[in-house]
Amino acid sequence: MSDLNFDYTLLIPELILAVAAGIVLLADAFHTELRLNRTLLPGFTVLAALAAGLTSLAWLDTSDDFATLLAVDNFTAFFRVLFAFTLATVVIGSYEFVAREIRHQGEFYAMFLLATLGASVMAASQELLTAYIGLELLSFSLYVAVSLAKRDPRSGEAGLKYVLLGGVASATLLYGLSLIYGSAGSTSYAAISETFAAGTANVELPLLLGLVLVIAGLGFKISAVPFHMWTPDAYEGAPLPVTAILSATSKAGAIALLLRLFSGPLLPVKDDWQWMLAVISLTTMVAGNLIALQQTNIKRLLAYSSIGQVGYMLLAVATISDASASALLLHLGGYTVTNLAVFMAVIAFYNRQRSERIADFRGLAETNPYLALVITAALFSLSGMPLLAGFTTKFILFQAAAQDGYLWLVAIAVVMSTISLYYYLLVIRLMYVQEPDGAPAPDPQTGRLDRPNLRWRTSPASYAVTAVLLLGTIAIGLYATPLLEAADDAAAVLFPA
Amino acid sequence: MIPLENFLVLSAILFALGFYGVLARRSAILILIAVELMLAAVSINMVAFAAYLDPTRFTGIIFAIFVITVAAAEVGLALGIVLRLFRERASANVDEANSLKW
Amino acid sequence: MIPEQFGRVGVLFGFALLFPAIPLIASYVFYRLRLRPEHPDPIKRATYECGVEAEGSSWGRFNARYYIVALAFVIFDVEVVFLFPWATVFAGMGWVAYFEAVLFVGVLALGLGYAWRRGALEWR
Repeated sequence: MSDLNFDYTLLIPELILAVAAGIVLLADAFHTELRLNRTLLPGFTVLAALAAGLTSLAWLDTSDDFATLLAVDNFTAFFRVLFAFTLATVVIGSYEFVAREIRHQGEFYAMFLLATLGASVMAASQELLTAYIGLELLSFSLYVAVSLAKRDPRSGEAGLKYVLLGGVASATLLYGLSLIYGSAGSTSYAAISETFAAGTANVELPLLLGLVLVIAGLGFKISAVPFHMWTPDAYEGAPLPVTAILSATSKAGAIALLLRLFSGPLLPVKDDWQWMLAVISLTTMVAGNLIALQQTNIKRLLAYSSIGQVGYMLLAVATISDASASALLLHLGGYTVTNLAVFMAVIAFYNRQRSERIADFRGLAETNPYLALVITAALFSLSGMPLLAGFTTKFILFQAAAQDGYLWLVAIAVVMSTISLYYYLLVIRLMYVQEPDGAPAPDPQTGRLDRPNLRWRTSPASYAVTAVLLLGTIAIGLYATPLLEAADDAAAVLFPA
Repeated sequence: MIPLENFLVLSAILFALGFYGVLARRSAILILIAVELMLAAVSINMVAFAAYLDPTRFTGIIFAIFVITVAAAEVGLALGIVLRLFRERASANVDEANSLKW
Repeated sequence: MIPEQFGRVGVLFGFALLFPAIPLIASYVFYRLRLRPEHPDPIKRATYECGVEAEGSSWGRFNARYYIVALAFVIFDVEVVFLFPWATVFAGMGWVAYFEAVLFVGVLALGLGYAWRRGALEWR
């Protein structure tokens, strides 16, 4: 008991998020008594996110743990900063959306804070139970957040599907974890790793079954095919900012947990799970990108495109090594920035046009050239065009995976990337080539175009957020070194030399 | 002593029954009950492993306690969502939640 | 070994069956032997001799409002399970354990306060 390190200061970023969530909830519930203006809630949430992100920088290049439950090292710091950045960006970019669409704003922001907290705990976990609690905190907050749009009947249905399937997935994951606990006799990553490495665990069958169930359960959380069925529905039914969090925080959190699990306790039994992850990676990138081809709703398109992206990320988990873990973290960083750029731009678009149909993006280059530029750059980056973040990070990712002998899988990934370019280009073509709705035809006599002014402006908050994300996308594409170094430092924790 | 295998078989049967329930039932409430069955199977597994393989510590038992509480929270949450959907559509049948597809 | 353990449970199970069966059988036998008087009237035959009168079938639909109260109860009820292991080590850990439990219950109280404020405990 006494040899454990109970240094609560190590958890300051998490504590900030937890306390902020409580304050936001109560401040919203008692705002009349406290004479609070509810417009302060998003500002406070952003402050909490920034505080959590900045304080987590204090533990750069340290290696410490809280009671052997949570590790505080570069890997944790990388994800803490990533999640805090995501939270701050999403809240700034969507507060107008939330003010109009969501009745209980306090609950909404509290759920975002708790989801971020859960994801941080997952990334820092050193033990199965802690990881599971983090995962459930993340999932539960998102179940609530998905179904919070009370005016939209799709929201409730999406919430129902998400919560029922999520419950089955977490039960599956837990059963798998219980079998791994049974084979290793401990839930601590270090002890599991030792047992498996020593080969004293004489339990091949339960272990294999446990691995299958764990991969199925986590595969659900990262929406890997064939466990992806909830993804498009939850993405479409959820309010837009929640969709952004689903595709950024939730995915990154699950990837962080996968990395911790498969680089640590499960590494000695790599032969048992490597092929499973390779197969899932293959089905995920093929199915995600092919089904994305025929979507008419922008959220569903992004859902399937994010499934495709998960396929690429799983490629790196399957071939896990120092290089591929670092490449995966780099790709995750670049993907988060790019993906948020798309979502923030779509939220700005929705604030004005109240539509999620891809067809309604027609002529956006004419009515709002800036937003069209942001969406174009971000979509090109997602498909992996050079000079943008997506190309650099994907290139390094595929290279790292190819070195480990999965060349055929990398070849398929490249083909799928090309296919994804097609459906992104469809959106871009609509924006740039077609005329906007409501534009009159040219005057038949004079041939002159006398059109009403269809231009509209992005709100300052959306403008600022999308500008930062756009610059980030370009910056990572041109000069990825700082992010690459951060990813290298974080990956070095998983594979100490 | 009852051998460990008996507990594992019991929990496997319970887990399979729960999974069958999830697949076969049409009412959201009954699906939730089936999920509870699956979680109960996990608890049995955890406690059995803790008693047989890891008797000096209580990891598995603590895990089971957490599973129980998390399951309660999950049911509460899911029932809230089902209730909301019921108010909108007067039905808790999951087959009728079909406005989102593909 | 196993038969013995199941045997013990079996004895308990048999006893649990016999316990209610014996008075029922005895009552019937005494009635047959005309040792027991029989004067039925509607109040005696009611499901609950005292208390609220039963109404309708037990398969009827319950009002959805019961769910909210039941949910709040279940969640707070189950959280108490964490206090049992805490109680067993409390004596050895002193004030730290005490304040940790106070914090835990405090968070639960905040949740209850929030539910109260949001009207989850009102009948509407």
